[in-house]
Amino acid sequence: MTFLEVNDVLGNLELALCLGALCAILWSRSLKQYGYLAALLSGKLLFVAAQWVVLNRREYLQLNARIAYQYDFYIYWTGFAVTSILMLVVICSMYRLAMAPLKGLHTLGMLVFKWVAAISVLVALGSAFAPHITTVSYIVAFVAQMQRTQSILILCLLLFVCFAIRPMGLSYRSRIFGVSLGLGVIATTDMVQSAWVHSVNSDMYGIFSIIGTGAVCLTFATWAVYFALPEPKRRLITLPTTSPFLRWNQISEILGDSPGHVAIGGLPPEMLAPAEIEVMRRASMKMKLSLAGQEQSADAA
Amino acid sequence: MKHLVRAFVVVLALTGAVASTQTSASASARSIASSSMQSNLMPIPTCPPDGSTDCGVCKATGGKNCAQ
Repeated sequence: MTFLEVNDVLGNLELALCLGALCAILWSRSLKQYGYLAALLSGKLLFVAAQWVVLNRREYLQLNARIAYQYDFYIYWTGFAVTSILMLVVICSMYRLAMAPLKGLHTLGMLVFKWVAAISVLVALGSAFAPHITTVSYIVAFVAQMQRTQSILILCLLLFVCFAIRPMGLSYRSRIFGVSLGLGVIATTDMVQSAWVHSVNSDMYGIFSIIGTGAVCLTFATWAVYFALPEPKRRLITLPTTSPFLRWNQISEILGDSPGHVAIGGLPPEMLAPAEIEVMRRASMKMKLSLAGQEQSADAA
Repeated sequence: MKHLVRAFVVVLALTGAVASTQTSASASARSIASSSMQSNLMPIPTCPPDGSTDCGVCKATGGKNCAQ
C-alpha cells in the first residue's frame, strides 16, 4: 500500500468517524449540552463536502480550474476560521459544564478567559505584522498565532479538568472529560505539526499527515464511544471546610457585589423618614427616663 | 487507572509545551496555518486567489476543463 493510499484510507475513515461521533451525540440526546461540539463536527463535514464538490465535480458545475481554485481557497479558509471559532466556543462550553456547581469559580474563570482571549487577539494582530507583508501572509500569520493560543488554552483546560475532576463531582468516564481529552489530543497534534513543518523538509511532513490523521481518527472514535456509552451521574460534591476550592468559590461569589454604605456623620434630620425620627425620639425619651430612674434610686440609697 | 490517565494528560501537555517553544523560535522565518479539524483529503490552498493560477487543481483532477 502506497503512502497516498494510506492517507486516502485514513482520510475517509476520519470522515466516517466524524459522522459516527455526530450520530452518537444525537443518539444520546445530549445535543442541548453538547450543541457546540455537534456544530463543530457538522461544520467539518460540511466544508470538506463543499471542497470535494468544487474540486472533484467541477465539470458538472462547469467551472474551469482557476475558478474552481478560487472557490476552493475561500471555502477552505472560511472553514478554517469557522472551525477555529467553534473550537474556542467548545472550550468555553466545556468549562461552563464542568464548573456548573461552583458558580463563583465559574464566573471568575469566564472573566479570566475573556481577558486572555482579548489579549491573545491583540498580541496575534501585533506579532503577525512585519514590514512589506502582503495581506494573505498577514492573515495566515495571524491565524497561525491564534491557533497556537487556542491549542495552549485547550491544553490548560484539559490539565484543569483532569486534576480538578474530583472536586467537580466528575469521573474519567464523564463526557466532559472525554471531550476535553479529545480536544487535548487535537491541540497537541496541531502544535507538533506546526513545529514539525518548521523544522523538517516537506517530504517528512507527508509522514506526519498520516500521524495527524490517525490522531484525529482516535479523537473522533473516543468521542463516539463516550457518547454511545451511558454517562455516570455526577456525584454529590462534598468538600472539606478547609478546601481551597470552597474558599475560592466563596471569595469569587462575593467579588463584584455592590457594597453597602454607612453614614459617618453630619446627618440632617430632613434626610430621615418620619417613622425613623419617631423611633429615635422615643428611644431618647426612654434613655432619659431610665437615667432619671437610676439617679432617684441612687439618691434613695 | 487514575495515574495512567493523569500521566497521559501530563505527557500531552508537555509535548504541546515543547512543540510550542520550537514553533515560536522559528515562527519569524515561516508561518504555517494547518488544523487537524481540516481534512487531509483536501490540499491546503496556499496560492493567491487572484485568478492567475489554478494551484495544481487542473493536474490533480485529471486535466479536464482546464481552460486558461
